[in-house]
Amino acid sequence: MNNHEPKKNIKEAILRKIETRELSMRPKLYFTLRIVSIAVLALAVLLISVFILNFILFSIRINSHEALLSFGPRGWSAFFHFFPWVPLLLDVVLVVALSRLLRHFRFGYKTPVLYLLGALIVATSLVGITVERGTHINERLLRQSDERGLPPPFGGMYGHARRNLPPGAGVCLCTVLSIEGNTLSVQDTKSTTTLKVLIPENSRRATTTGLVVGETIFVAGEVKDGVMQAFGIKKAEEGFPRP
Amino acid sequence: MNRVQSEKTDEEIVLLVQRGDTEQFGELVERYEEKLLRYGRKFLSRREDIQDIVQDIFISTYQNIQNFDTLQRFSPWIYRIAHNAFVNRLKKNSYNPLILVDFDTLVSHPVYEDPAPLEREQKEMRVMIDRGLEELAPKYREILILHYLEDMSYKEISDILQIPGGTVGIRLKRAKEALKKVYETMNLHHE
Repeated sequence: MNNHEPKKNIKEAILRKIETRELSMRPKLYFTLRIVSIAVLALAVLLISVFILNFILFSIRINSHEALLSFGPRGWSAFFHFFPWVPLLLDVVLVVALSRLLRHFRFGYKTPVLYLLGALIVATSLVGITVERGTHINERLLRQSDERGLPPPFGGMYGHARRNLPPGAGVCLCTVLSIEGNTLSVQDTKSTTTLKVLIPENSRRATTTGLVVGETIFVAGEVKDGVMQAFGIKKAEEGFPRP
Repeated sequence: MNRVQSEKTDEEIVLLVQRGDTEQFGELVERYEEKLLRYGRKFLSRREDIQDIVQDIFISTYQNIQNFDTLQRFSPWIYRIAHNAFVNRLKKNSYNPLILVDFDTLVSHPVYEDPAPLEREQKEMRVMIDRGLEELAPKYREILILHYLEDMSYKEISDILQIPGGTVGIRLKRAKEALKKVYETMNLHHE
């Protein structure tokens, strides 16, 4: 550094700017509004992420995909295959954005990043589960979407909440038409498509025991040439969601 | 500067400025100009750049002064503004990709503040910092400056850098280790 360079008189320059009103203080209201805006934005992001998580859970429930979790490794694999990853990714982005917003507050930057993210994920999940299980908001929105449509983005979300997978996709909420030994004939509840389902011998997760004609079941398996090799069957119990 | 004026704390002066006695801002400029120039010299080498940035820091301080809570200490607040200004200039000058997350802020570290270092140790560190600082990563450089040259506590550094208290301790420890490595590599000795 060249120490012979003339030193600027910063104090004089600043005071001159203040005197000529070239430089002025922002009013206290500006900072109050700024912090309120950040808080409102953070709250909005939190509510949106809770709503999306609630929608993810509803989407799994309405399609009976949670039943896949009781069908062993292949059921898990199918569950992850049908999982609504896009809303989940959006939710993760929102939670990360929320954690960045909270870093404007002292508690936000004083808390280690992973702990803050963990707390937000737990809080979002708990509230999301409570909304999904404890209220009928999703059913109401789905009904409205069916009857008269919903404005975006709700229309797009609830319009596609039921994932009408063809029986060939390997999962089906079906009505039992007939039972012959280890073979079932079933009809998809979402369409008139019928399907032949073969039950493997000695399977714990796929059995005809206790099934009766006319009953609604959730069945998962591999479909080949219009025949499903089932690896899991679950009876649609009381309260099991209907399409 | 008269004697009464010099006895006023920074926070008392800020309160006067907030209430409209804008002339008092000159006193704050006087008190912090040299400190901020010295702080800036640890980041940048061009004197003119540093002076311009320090002037911008005072402009920003004045514009935002109504946001300062006079129950807090003024010094970490103005250093926070200075930190942002110098880091922004460093980012502008550097081709390094923008790092969004500092890994040492991810989890918590026990907050253990070293007891006040002995005067001799403090002096030694200052000499070491002066000689080996340029070789250090900016995040290590800055924390050493704040702790050893500007005498900031962990809590104040935590507010300036907006990182958890435990991270200050761990980063300072790593900075000292990195500084020692620089000394070994450069074959420097400290008395």
